[in-house]
Amino acid sequence: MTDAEAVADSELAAAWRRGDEAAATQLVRRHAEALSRFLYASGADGSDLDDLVQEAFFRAFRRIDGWRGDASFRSWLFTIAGNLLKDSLRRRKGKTLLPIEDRDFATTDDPGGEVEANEAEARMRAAIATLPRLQREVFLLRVQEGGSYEEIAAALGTTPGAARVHYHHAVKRLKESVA
Amino acid sequence: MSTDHLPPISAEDERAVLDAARAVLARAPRPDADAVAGEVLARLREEAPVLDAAERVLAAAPPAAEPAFTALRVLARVQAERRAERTRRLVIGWGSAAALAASLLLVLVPAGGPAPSPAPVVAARALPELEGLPAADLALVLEAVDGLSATVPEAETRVPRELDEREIQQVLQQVGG
Repeated sequence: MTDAEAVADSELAAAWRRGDEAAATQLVRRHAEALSRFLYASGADGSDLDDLVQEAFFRAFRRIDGWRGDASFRSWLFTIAGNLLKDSLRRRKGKTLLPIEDRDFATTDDPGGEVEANEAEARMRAAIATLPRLQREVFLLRVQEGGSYEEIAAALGTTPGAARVHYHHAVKRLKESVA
Repeated sequence: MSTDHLPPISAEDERAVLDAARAVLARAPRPDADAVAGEVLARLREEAPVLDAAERVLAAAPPAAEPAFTALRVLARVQAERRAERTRRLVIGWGSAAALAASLLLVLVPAGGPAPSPAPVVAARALPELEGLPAADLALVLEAVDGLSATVPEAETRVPRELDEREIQQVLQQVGG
């Protein structure tokens, strides 16, 4: 843990409540990359990622009092982003678009293997994106953050038992995509 | 709730799924965190006060007034964008917000009546839901209505309907100009 990370998110959030913009900047630096990964894996269009990340932080900082600390700041931020993504996809009339991007193509000395890996990754990403929302968010919070079911449940407003079941179903469905 | 009744997943299968998911996560584009922070803080300085005021209006409104106040909230957002004079970068929902604002502006003028008389701002002032609103909030709302009403062609205020893409772009251009 670096010196900067030694300051807890809760302290930075408290500083932001007092109007400390440097504290808000620190929170963005700390969580923006993870938030981008979460949204990307959830099926966000690459061209929307920056806007979604920005909007999630904007809403989080406006509603910082809504973070009560029973889930981590990051998990709470992810749930805000999940809502944003849901709205974004709804505006696309339910279509989940996963465009093929430059990085989906081979760039190494092993083009065959790279292409295969890219195809597997694209399949997996599409499969995650099409999971029911709670399954997807429980799964990603568990995989990305290693959160306990208790913490995930607190972030998503469900019970630890239900979170465990959602995770189980998600893994089961995703297994088909990996096979 | 327990998973006892569910078919088990082998550790090997679970590991394969997790590895594949981590491979996806690893390929996500990295945002420029400082740029994100700069944008977010700028928006918090410029937009948040307007949105706060609009939400105070919403909170004070009776449930039946929700559509009109949704319009006002969107209008406040549009106004915030105008005030900010930022780069014409579209924010999430901006296109639909502008369309909604332009459409709901029609709420504020008599449908099918001679438009735009009374002027939308006058019609807005006459909304019973706005009675008792703090003067500063009322001024803000009226300013938002007035600002947007100037951007909608007169003919568009006659018949409530969704704007098409060309009209949305026209509104966007005028609002951002």
